[in-house]
Amino acid sequence: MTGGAADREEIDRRVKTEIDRALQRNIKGLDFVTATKQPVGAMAKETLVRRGTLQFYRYKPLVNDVYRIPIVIVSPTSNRGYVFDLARGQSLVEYLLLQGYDVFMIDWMPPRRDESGLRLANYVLDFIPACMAKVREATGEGTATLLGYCMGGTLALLYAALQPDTVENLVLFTTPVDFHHMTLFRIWGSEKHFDVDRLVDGLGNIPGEFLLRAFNSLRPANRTAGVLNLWLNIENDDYVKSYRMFDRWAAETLPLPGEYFRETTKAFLWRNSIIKGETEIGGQRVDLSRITAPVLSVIAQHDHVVPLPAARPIMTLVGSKERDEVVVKGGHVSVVAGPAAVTRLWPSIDQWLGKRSV
Amino acid sequence: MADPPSDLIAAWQKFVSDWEKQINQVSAQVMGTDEYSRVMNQATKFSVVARQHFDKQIEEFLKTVHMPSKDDVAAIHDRLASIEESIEQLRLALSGEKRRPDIPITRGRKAPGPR
Repeated sequence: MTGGAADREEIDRRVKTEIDRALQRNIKGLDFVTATKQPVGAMAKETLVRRGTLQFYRYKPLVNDVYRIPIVIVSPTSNRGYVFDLARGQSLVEYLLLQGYDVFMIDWMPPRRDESGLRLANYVLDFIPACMAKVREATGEGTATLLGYCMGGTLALLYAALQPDTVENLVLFTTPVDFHHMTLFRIWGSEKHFDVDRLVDGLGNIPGEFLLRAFNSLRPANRTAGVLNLWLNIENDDYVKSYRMFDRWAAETLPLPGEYFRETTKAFLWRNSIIKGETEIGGQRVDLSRITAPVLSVIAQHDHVVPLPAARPIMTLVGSKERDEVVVKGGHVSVVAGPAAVTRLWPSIDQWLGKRSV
Repeated sequence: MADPPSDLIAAWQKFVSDWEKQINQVSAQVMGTDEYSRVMNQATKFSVVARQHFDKQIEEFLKTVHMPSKDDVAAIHDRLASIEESIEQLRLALSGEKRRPDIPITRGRKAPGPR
């Protein structure tokens, strides 16, 4: 066989391979487009409270002998809590249950129209305490570990400052406290240009799409790049499944109660009240130095929603003697459910928390 | 011999990644300005006003043709949700009395030693 014929055969083989791949991609792509919502939520749970925007679950333990101190996860107010329980093998909840923790979760539903008047006080002085009371009732324990993510972490911090005796440990994922460093949000939401009163008075609850647009605008190219990468990996079922779960989670960004949005915009974005010690909730001044429980703050190095300096001051604001900060590679979402979180971060959280949960 | 398709894919991935970084960087510079904030908020203000105006027009039209408006439907939704919630609270109260853990739980787990 001559060299020319061999080259032709090789070219034919490659062309055929590429055509096969393209066909496979199209078939898989069609599956992707026509597929229904990606199922999420791997672990069995029982609803303990259902009250408007508030849902409170207890996950079924996976071992007989659990740690004495239960964990209460506080989801971010703008997103569903199932980011902690996407699928088997990609679920912090599953991991914690397997390590022997008794896990509860505060999850938020879209607020009803008649809940547009909910304020920070409702979250910090009513919803979280009601859930803690349920934990006490269910476990007999008067304290719990609070594990909060993003604004869920901020709510957990504010609650812990007002009710320090009920909090055994605080684990905070990318929790903003210095809003001056939420640069783009601060500029877009500046008092000079952003008429929050008109927006809230006009809309009542702030639509999820409005918030999603703002989140997407922080990194406008991410979505397009994500779709392009998806196309390259369309034959990889695990990749596609993971993409669809995160895509669903982002698309299900929750509306926020109007008054809560107005209050947090004015207090946090305009006045940066947490770091200045000027936050008032239900007439009580919030002083984070009252928190004495051990604190673990997890920050993502490439977080574009809560940049590093927005979360860093937690270490100096709380009064806890035991306070640890972990900076991990990754972004705002991958820090809770990305591959590196599964293999590296979760085991180190378990190591930190296990000895503090007996 | 290197496999050209893999090289092409790697080159494409690098191109997408670089493009993503550049666009994000440029847009952060543009969108991080006071001027952008002013324009964006002006647009938001207009869209809220337009939406309110549009909602009002539609509401009047639906009233004219004896159809339930968005507010009427939303009110029914809220009532249904509150009825559903009351039923759920009754269910939770009843199941709370009968609740038994699937497996008997003890709370004496010890932390493992350093790993």
